[in-house]
Amino acid sequence: MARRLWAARASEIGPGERIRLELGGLNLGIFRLSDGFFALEDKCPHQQGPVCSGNLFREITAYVEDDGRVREGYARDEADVVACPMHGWEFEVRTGECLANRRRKVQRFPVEVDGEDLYVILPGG
Amino acid sequence: MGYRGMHVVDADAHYLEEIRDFAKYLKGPSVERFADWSGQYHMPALVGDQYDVMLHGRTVRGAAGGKGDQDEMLGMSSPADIPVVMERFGIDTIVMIPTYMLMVEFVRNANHAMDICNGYIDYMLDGVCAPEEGIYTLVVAAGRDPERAAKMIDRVAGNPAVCGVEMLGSVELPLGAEAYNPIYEAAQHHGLPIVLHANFLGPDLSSFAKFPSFVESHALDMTWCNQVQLVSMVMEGVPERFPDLKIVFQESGITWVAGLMYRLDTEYMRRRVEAPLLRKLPSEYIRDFYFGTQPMEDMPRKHLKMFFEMLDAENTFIFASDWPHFDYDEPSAVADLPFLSDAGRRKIMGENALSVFRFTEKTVNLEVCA
Repeated sequence: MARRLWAARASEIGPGERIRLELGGLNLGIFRLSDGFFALEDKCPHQQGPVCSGNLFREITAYVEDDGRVREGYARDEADVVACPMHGWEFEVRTGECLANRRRKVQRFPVEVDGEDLYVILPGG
Repeated sequence: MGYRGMHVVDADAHYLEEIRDFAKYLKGPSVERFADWSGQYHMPALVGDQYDVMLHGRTVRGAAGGKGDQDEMLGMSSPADIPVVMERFGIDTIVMIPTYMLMVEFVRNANHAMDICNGYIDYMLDGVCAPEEGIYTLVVAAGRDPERAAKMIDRVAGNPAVCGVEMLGSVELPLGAEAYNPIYEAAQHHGLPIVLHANFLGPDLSSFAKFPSFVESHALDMTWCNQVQLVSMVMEGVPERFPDLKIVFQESGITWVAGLMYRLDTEYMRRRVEAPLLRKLPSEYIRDFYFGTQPMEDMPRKHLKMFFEMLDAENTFIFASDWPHFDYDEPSAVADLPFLSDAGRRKIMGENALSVFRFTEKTVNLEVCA
């Protein structure tokens, strides 16, 4: 049975910012990106670091040009990747997936916006 | 303190010294080389590490007095920080190594290198270390001048905060060479282990390969330099020449040892004539060495377990965090491995180190060991 728990006022989180909070027995981070709010558990799957306290970055990517040379660039303009401050493991805020290995994930929870209120949907209580 | 009821020794943690504080422990022209260092005229991309060891903000270490998130990631840049970090990790005994000293073998001027070594150990002993609180250090011996390094060891070995002698993996001549005898003799005489710490200079100035990125350079150089030194020390008979000398290899992880161990055995069986000092297989000498656990490889547990078995880990591994560097390990990365026996867990997390290093204050947490 999922739990819909009030987490914060939307206005508490500015664009590109996040809050960290304890909710329903879990430590969470709620991030505000360009297309909405995203909640992640504040626990890195590597060594349980406070991943939601990490800095946000644009995803660095690379591609091979027609001349065979490798070029680096950003996948998107938005800083939507959070790096765990312990060891630098990078996770997509929207999916919780680790950029270096998509099988390693930070637990992600749906966020519902109801007017000015943010609710996080957590698994049963 | 302790972790899960064990006395925890962290055999490799790093002090983030302020270079100008250290300068006052130097003598002669070396003083101005540090105290009056401009800190300019080098772009960050041109000082050997274009990728930044701390990943341009992806890994974070806070400053003393930091707020909120920074407190969780406190570095160690003042003596007062050290007990805070020990408390956070549950560490009872810690071996502090000044970070800049990892580079001393790249100083080609032997006089300058030895001035730095002497200044650094005085700096660490005068206010940073506190053996009564479980805070120790290693005296770093520059391989460029073994005679003077041995005299330095003799000079400070009586200090209760000195628990071993550190040498660096990037020494000019491999460590099996007789040139290092004075250092080994001094260490053995004082009951201090030789701790070999891996190191490298980053991609731009890498000593071993010409890699373009930190990730390539760090992955290989940090193991390669220890592989070189292990081969040299075993095959040139350092354990036979100095039978009471304990030898620890640090900061290369643990998987590199096993393959090399059996490769050396295979070579030795065919070419024993070139290593006549040996009285047993290379692998048997290697199992008498000790290995810092960090950075513990992130790999399937069933395979990691095999490496532990091959290296007799419960008797040869020593927990090391490498805090606050980017690739440090939490105590849980080792202590929570499910395949360890309780006795083995206690040995790796503390008891092996207590028997290898010369900890003058046996600050064993008797409460948690009971």
